[in-house]
Amino acid sequence: MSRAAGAFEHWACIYDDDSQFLDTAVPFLAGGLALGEPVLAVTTPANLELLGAALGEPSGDVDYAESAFFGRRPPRRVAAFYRYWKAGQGSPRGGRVRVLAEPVWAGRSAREITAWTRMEAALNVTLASTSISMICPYNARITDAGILADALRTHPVQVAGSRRSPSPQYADPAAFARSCDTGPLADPAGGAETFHFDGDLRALRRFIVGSAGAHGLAGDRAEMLVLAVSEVGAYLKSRWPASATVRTWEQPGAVVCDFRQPGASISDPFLGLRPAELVPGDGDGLWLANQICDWMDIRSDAEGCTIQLQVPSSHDQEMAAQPGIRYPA
Amino acid sequence: MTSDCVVYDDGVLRITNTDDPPGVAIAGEIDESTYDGLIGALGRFAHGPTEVHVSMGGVSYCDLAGLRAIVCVTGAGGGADGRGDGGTRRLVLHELPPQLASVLRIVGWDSTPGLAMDQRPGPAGAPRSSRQGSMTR
Repeated sequence: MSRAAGAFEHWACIYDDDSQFLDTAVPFLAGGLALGEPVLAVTTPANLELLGAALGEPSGDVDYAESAFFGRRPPRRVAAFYRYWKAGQGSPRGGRVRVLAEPVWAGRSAREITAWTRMEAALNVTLASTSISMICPYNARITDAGILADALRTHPVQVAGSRRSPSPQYADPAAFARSCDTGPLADPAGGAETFHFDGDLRALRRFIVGSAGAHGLAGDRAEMLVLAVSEVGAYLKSRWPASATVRTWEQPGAVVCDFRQPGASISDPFLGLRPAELVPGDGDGLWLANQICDWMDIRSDAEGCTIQLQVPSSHDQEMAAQPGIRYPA
Repeated sequence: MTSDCVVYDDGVLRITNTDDPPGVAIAGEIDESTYDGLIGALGRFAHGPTEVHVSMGGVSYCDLAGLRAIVCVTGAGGGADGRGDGGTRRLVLHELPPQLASVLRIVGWDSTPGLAMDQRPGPAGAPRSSRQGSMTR
């Protein structure tokens, strides 16, 4: 296994009990600590306790987070991993960083499971330039067989204890991600506010300000939605003669903003997932939109492309209770 | 002695130079249509002072590219126009609107070396235009 800097390593660990989890996780984390590498454990509270007890005193040097809160949505998770890696640069080991990253599956909707599985495939591309070694534990006791099977398709290597083996089922990440993008997008059951976007971003922003207000979104929630929507408009405008139909509506749990641009086609399944840097990159604005929104879905067909954003509706009480949870204050 | 002068004004974005300390006061909306005006106004810092003050209180909208250009006044990323002198300078953002502070944290540029925030008004003292404030408040 190459250990060169700039080589992302992404291993799946499917475990059946606590001892199997610890057999893989402990040597991985302890090995990083021994080498002076930044080490991060993102897993369930139960597994964090197990790790603390098993690692003993050195566990105090392990950075940790509960899975549910380290990147609340897949795009934020990718960004959180990337940020951790960047913060660890300058360490003596050529920037190698170890991350134990257990996704949460229990209680998720089918749509969310697809999104998190898709993210596992995307990590192989979007973090390819980093020198992160990542083990993703999957708890076979409580995880559906289909999710476990996909873990072998989204991770090039399986690991059990200190034994690593290539995953024969590993799938091309782009092809895998595209296979996740087949579900229908939301459509308004009732009416939608409609706006014709001809390239005038200020007019687009005025439309979305009004629409946000009509759905009870104010303050930061409205401002951030305006940012996301305007970045999508700017992206479309930069590539095609802008002539998009923009529709907004509210549905249970979300305010939706849907762009339909005839004649456009987006083939990059990882657009909007590569972290933005101070050096400009393709799709940086979409990356920001993806960070702001709960969902950014992109679909292309023979007639054009659709970019659909969803943000929490005004009825979301999590943001009411903790305004900084999505938009860091 | 401070001498303010308008270096850019297209009716959407207005940028005023300040000399003491060196900086600009920005009011209005920054997007692709006003980006070139912003870059032009920031260009004078590429080979200049070691500390720059930018008053952001009048910015009602700023896209990611515009925010990047402002942050790059520090010299990071090659400077605001990508062709800076490679040096590092201190950049103080005054009255940064909260949503732009959130964006800085989301994208991680808040930790750019040389970048500092100051919620007090900047030294520009430029007359505020009616374009100041947020999109929604």
